[in-house]
Amino acid sequence: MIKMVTTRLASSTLTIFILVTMVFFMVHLTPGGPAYSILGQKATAASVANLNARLGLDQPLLKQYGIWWWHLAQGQLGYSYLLNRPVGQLLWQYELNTLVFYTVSIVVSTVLSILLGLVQGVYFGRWPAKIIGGLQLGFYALPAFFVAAMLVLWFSVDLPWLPASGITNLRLPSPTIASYAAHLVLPVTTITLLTVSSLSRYFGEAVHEELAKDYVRTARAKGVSFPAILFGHVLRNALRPLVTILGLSFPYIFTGGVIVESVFNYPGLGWLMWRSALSQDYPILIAIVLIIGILTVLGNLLADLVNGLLDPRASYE
Amino acid sequence: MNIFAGKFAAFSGLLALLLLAPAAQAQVKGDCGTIVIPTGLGITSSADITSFNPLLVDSLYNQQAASMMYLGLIWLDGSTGQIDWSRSLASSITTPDEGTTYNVTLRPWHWSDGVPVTTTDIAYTFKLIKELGPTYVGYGAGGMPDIIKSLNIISPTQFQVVLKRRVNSTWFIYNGLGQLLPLPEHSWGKYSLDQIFQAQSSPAFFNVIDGPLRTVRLDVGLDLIMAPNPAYEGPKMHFQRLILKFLESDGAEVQGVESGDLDMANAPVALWDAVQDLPGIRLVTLPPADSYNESQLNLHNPKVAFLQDVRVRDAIADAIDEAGMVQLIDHGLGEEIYGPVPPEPPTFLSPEMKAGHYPVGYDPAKARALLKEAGYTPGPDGIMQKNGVKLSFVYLMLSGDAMIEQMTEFMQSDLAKVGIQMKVREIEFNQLLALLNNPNSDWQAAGLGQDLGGYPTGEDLFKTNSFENSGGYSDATMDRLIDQSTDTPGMTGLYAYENYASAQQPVIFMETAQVTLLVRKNLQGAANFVDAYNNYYPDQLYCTPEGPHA
Amino acid sequence: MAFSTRVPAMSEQIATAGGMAAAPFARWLGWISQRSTLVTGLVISGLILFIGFAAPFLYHVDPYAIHPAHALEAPSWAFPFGTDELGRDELALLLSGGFATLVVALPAAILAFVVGVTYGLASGLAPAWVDRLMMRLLDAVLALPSLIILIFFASLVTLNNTSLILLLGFISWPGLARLVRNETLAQRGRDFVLAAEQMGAGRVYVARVHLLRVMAPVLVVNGTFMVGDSVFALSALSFLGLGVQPPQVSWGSLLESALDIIALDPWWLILPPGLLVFGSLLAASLTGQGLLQRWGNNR
Repeated sequence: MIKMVTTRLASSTLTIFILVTMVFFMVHLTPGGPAYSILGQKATAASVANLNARLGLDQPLLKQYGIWWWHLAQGQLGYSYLLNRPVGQLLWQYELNTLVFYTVSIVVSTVLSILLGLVQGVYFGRWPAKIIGGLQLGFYALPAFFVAAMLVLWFSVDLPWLPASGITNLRLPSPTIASYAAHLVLPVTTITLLTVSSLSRYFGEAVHEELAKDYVRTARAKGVSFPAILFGHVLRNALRPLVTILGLSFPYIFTGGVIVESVFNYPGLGWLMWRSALSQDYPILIAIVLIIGILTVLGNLLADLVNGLLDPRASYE
Repeated sequence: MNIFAGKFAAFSGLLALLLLAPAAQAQVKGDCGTIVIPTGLGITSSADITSFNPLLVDSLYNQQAASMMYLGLIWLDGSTGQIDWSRSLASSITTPDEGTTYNVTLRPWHWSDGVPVTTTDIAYTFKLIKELGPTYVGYGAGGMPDIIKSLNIISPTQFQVVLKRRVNSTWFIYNGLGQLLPLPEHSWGKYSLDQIFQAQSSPAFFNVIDGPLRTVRLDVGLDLIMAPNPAYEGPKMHFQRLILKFLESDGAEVQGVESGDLDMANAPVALWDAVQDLPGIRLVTLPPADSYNESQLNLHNPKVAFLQDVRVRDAIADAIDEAGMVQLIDHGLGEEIYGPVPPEPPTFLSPEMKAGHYPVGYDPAKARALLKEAGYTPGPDGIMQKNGVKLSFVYLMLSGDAMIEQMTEFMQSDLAKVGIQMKVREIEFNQLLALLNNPNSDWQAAGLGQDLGGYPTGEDLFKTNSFENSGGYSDATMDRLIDQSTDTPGMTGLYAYENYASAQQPVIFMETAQVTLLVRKNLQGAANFVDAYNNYYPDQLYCTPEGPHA
Repeated sequence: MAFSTRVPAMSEQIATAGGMAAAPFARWLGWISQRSTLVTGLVISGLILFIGFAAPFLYHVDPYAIHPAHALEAPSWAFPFGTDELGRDELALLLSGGFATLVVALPAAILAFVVGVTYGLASGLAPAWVDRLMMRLLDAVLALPSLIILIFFASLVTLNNTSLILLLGFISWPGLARLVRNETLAQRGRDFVLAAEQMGAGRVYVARVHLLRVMAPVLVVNGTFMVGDSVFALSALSFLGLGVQPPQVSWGSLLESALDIIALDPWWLILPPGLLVFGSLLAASLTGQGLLQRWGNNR
C-alpha cells in the first residue's frame, strides 16, 4: 500500500515537472519573446527593451528557467501587465467561483446519474432503459456551447426567468444567496446535461453487471426483497467505479467549464483563461495551465488512492 | 365667513397643489440608487478598466475612470471648445509675456481626507512625470515635459511655468499645461515609483481623491464600482453607486439594457432597426464627438507609390459620397469630415470651413479629371492605370464592427466608380497596430479612427517622423504650417494648417457617426452625460419615478 | 479521450431485439436494427460531408455579401435560412462555415491518427525502458484537458488553417497511442508474430503487415471517434474566438455571433450551426458504435 502510494506520488511529481517545463519553453520560445505578447499594442522597440530588462527576459533561457522555478517555489505566480495585477491574487478570486460552480454541478450531476443509472440497470433490456440509452447517446454528442446557447434562448430570452450572465445581481447593495443561486441555475444545468449522459451510462452498466451476479440470485432465492438487495448491496458495489470516474472526469469539467463559463460570463478560472488567451496575457495563462495540470494529476492520484482503499483487490501495474 | 369660502379656499389650494405638483416633480432630481453602464458609453464599444493612475492611463476607459476621480487643472467643454472654469481646478491662467511664462492660480479645493490641494501637489506631479519619462502616457503632447524650462512655486495656490521657447499660449494651455493635475503628495509621496506603478489597479491605493467619484471595488475583468466622493465640493450626484461594466460586444450591451442589467448602452448602428422599439427604453442621440474616421495611407510603400501624388489622394477623397454614407449607414446621424478638424465644436474651424468650403468634397467628375491630369487612363478592365501601374491597393479593415464593414464596402464601390480598385482585407486591432508600428511592414492602406480634444494642431499626426504618422507623410509646407500653429499666437496658424491639410489629404478624412444611446425610461440627463471630448458628467444623471408617461 | 468507451448498453439492447423474432420480416427488422446504429451513423456522416464539401460549390451565393436592408430576417423564400445582423445569407454562411470546419477538422483527425498509431506501435515494440519513458511523456501530455492545451497554444501562434491542423492534430492522439501500445504489447507475443520474426522480418514490417491488420477494427473505430473529437474541438475553439479567424466563418463562430445578439431571439442563427456540430458528433459516435458492434464480436 505504502509502496503504491509512493510510486504514484513519484510519477505524479515527474509528470508535473515535465508539464511545467513544457509550458515554460513553449511560451519563451515564441518569436519575439514574451515581451511582445505582454505589451501587446504598447510594444515599441524601446518599451520591449525596457520590459525585457525589468523582467529579466533578456537573460539566457536556462537562467530564466531557474529564476522561474525559484519564483514558483516562493508562491509568486507572476504579474499581469495587461491587468496590472499580481497573478496569484487574481487566480484565488476566480478559483473560488469555479469551486462553487463545479461542486454544485458535480453533486447535481452525480445524484441524477445514480437515479438514471439505477433505472437503466434495473430495467435493462426493457423500454425505460432503451429510452435512457438513446437519450444518453444523443446527449453525449451535444456540444457544450449549443446546449448553453439553447438554455439561454429558452430560459433567459424567450421566458425571462433566469439571468444569463454574471455571478450575482450587481444592483443589490450586497449580494444575496438567492442571487448567487439564480445565476448558478443555467450554468449548472448545462454542465449536468453534458456530464450526466456518460456518468449515468457507466453507472447503469455497473448496476446491470451487479444484478447479474450470483449473490443477487442467492439473495432473491432466499426471499430477500428486491429493494433491500438493490439499495443494500448492489448500490454500494456499483458505486465503486463512480469514484474513479469522478476522479477521471475532474479535468473534463474544466474543459466544458471554459465554454460554459464563457457563454454565461461566469467569472471562474475557465473564463479567466479564455479572456487571457484572447488578450494573450501570458503570465495568467501559464499560471492557470499549471494549476489545472497540477489539480488534474492530484485528482487522478486521489481517485487511485480512494479506489485502493475501497477495494484492496484492485491491482496496479 | 360662510362655509363655502372655507371650502373654496381649501379646494383652490388643492387645485393649485395638483397643478403645480407635476412641475415641481419635474424639477426634483430623484436619486437613482445604482446606475449601471458599460465602459465606453457614448463613445465606442466596451473594454476593461485596468488602471486608475492618471499618469499611466493608456486607454480611454482608464482615462474616464481616472478623470472622475481627479480634478484636472483645466476642464475643456466639448460643446464650446473653451475652458469651463467652473469645473477647473485653476481659477485663472495668465501669460503676461504672451507665450513663454504662465501664471496659474488654483481655486480653494480639498482632498477627500480634508487636506487642501496645493501647488506642492502640482510640483509632485511634475516630478513624477519627469521620472516616468516615455512611460508617461501624455509624453510629448503639448511638448510636455521637455518644453518646460522651470516650474516655480510662488505660493500654496500659485505657481509659474516658464518654457524654453515661446509658443502659442492656447495650444500650450490646452494640450500641455492642462496635464499638470495635482496628485496627493501627502498620500503617495512615501511610495517609490515602482510601487506606484505596481499599485495602479488597486482601488485601495487611490483612497485620497478630489474628484466627484471614488472607487469602491474593481472586479478584475468584469466591472468597476464607483460611488460619490462625500467630500467633493462640486455639483452633487444623484445616485448612490455607479457601476461600469466591461462587456465584450455590442450585442451584450443591447442584451444588458433589455434585461435591465444596464441602465444605458450604445445603440449599435448595425442593429438599428431591431433596437427602435424595445419596451421601456428610449433612444437619445448625442451630439457629434470631436473625432473622425480616416484611411491611413502608407506613403513609404513603393507598390502604392501613386498615393504620394496629392492629386490621386484628392481624387480618392472626391470620389467618396460622405453625405450618402451618413444617410445610409448612420441613419442620418453623422457628420461629413474633410479636414483634420471636425466641425463640432466649430471653435477651431477656419473661416472657410465654417462657411462650408473645403478643398475636397463629393465630386466624381472632378475626381476623374484629377486622375486624368495626373496622367491616368482607364485600362481594359476599367481600372485607372499609368505606365502599367494600376490604381489598385489593399485596404486593411478592422474586424468585428458592422459599421466599419458597411463604410468600407461603400468606399470600395464609390472608388470603383472612378476607376480605383480597393481590395479589402480584415485584420484584428492589435495586429493592425503592430503593422503600423513596424516601419518595414508592407501595408498599403488601413481604416482607423482618430480622437482629438484640446487644441487641434497636427504635430503628432502629420509632421515628418511624428509619433502617429505611420504612413510616413512628409511635406515641408505642412511642417512649417504646423510649427506656425503651435509657436505663433492666435489662430491664423491653425487655420492655415487646417486648410492645407484638407487640400493635401495626408490621410483620407472620413465621416464620423453620432452615437445613440439606449436609455431606460426613468433615467434622465443622458444627453448631457458625455460631451464631444469624451468627458463624463456624472452629475447630470438623475431619475424620475417610473410612471405611465415615463 | 472520452469518446473511446466499451460496448454501451444501447448496442446490447439492439442486439437482443434483433434476435427475438423468427419471422422473415422480423428477421429483416432485426438485421436493420442490428445495423441501425451504423446505418444511421453513416447516413448522417454522408449528409454532413455533403454539406461541408459538395453543397458550398452548388449553392452560388456569396456568403460575405451584405444586405443591410434585410438584416436579421427569419427564413423566407429569398433567404432559406434567414439573414444575420448584416443581412448576409445564413445558408451561404453555414455552407462556407461547414467547409472551413471540415477542411481543418478532417486532416487534423488524420494527423492525430497517424501520430497516435506510430507512437503507440513504436512504444509497444521498443525495449521496456524506452516504452516506460514514452508512456510517462504521454502521461504528462494527458495531464491537461485537451481544450485547455488547445486554448493555451492557440494564444501563442498565428491562427491559420495549417497551424490549426497541426494544433488539433497534436492534441487528440495520446488516447489512441496508449490503446495501440497496449494492443501491440498484447499481440507481439502471439505465434504469427514470432513466426514472422523468426523468418527474418524486421520490426517495421511486422508492425505494418501483421499488427496493423489485427488491430484494424479497433483503429477504425477509434479513428471515427477521433473525427468527432476533432470537429468538436475546432468548433469549440472557433466559438471562443481562437479557432478559424474572421473573415472566414465556421460553425463555431456562427454560433458565437448568434449568441452575441441572443437578446433579439435569432433562433434561425442558433439552431442550424449548433445542430450541424451536434450532427457531426452524433454521426461519428453512431458510426463508431455501429462498427464496434459489428466487429466487436470478431475479437
